[in-house]
Amino acid sequence: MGEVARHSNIKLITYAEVEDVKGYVGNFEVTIRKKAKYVDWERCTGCGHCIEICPTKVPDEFNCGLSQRKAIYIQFPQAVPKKAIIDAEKCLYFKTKRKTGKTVCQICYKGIPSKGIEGCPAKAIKYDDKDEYMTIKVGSIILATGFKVMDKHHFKEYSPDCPDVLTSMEFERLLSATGPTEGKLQRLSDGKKPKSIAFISCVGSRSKKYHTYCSKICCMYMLKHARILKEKYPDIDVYLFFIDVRTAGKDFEEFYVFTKQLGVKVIRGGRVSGVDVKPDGKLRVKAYDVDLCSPVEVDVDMVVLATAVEPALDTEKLSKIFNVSRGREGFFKEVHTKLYPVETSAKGIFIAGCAQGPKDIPESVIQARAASSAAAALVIPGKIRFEAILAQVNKDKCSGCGVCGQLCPYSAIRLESYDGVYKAKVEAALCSGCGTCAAACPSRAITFHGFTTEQIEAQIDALLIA
Amino acid sequence: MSWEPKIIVIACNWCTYAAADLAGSLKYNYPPTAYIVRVPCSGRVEPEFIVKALTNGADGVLIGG
Repeated sequence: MGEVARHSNIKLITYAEVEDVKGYVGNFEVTIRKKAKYVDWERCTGCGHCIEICPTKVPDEFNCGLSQRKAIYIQFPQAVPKKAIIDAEKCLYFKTKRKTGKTVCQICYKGIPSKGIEGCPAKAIKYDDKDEYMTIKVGSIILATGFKVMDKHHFKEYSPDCPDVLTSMEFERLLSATGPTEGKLQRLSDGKKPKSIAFISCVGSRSKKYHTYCSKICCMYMLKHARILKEKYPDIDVYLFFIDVRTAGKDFEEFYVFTKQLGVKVIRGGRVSGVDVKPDGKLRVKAYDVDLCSPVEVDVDMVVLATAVEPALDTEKLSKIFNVSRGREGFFKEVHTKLYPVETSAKGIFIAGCAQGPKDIPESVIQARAASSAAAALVIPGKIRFEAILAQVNKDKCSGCGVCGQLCPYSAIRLESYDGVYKAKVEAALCSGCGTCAAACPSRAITFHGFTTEQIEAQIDALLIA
Repeated sequence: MSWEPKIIVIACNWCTYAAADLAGSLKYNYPPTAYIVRVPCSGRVEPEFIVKALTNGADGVLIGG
């Protein structure tokens, strides 16, 4: 991210959302809303003083709610740019102002004079900040909006309300040096170090009830977690519950074999049927072991659920803004799985990463490179080649009724004034060659090249002569 | 030989025509009296095509899209 921000040919716009996209391939006009930050980023140095003195604590989204952050905060330790923002929903100043109109707190701005604590040393706090809109012109677009992990609360059978039953993302944060415990492995219920941990795969994946697809990354990150644990804490018993182990990929199978040699216990078989919380705080995992041909029960101190990869929250909204179609599971859809893996139904818009479907980092990088090459190759020549199969309006016949424009699924036809008289005009770059306009035109004023009325009728005639 | 109806099949290039193509490569049989006309999309079908087919002797018209 840091490198991207410094690159002279890349403009990084953070804390912003795409509101609208107009135009077509080569000539997109994108409206971006830069959200109000309430901190002047020109002045903010990212020193963190405001965060220290802010009195309002709220759950930290970056740590999956396992720790607290302040109402003024830097989103995560490696954020680019490393600048503070105010969460106006939670900030005491904004909350009171909304309710009573009074201004209170303002500690980040004024400090606490009675204790000799100063406010923001860079004078960057800007309570009257507003959303900014900007419009940029681009030739092509890449959607790489990522994924989210499924909520564990769908799975009542796995006791999701117990603080020692974590999702893999929560466990990842727990292991991290910047996580809620600064990397110290402990149970969130009693703060004790767990002696045994069970990992459960395919939670919501490969299931008729939730998602039929395989989330693809879980087997490998479960093995990664197991390996980290075994290397750091060899005395912890690690149980991995798989339906089956899917380690396809370069060096992946070797990683699996190596991890097993560290003494990790792999239980293959059906899905884990349940996790019960015992009165002594231990968790009982009930499953079937296909190698033993018998049901098994294991008591552990902590359970980690590998919940499914799901489309990111705004995928549906984005699919409407960019006019990109989605597949059955909600991920952005490519034109062809094998031949056009990064192209979408909208010309000039490409996709990469988990926005297209579950995949790991190497695959995401491969796809991102493919998408950026495809996006650049499309616009660099300055001209675009089209299929010759498209519609053309005969101006002399067109009555300007506008039926075609309303029916066109690609919004490629609009009425244009010719000396005050409106006639339909096809934008060749947008026309995808369906021919709906030609079929609907009451004046027969649209010639559909490649499939003209005469050509089709001649075919019908020829077939029926015999 | 028993009578078989002549059907004009107006097939969308992307789905029905691709399906007919697949039926061919899978060596499935379908009646030789089904005559396929390929169109870029079922949206391209003009009502006149159907009338023309029926007046010229087709017993039925199937539009797939």
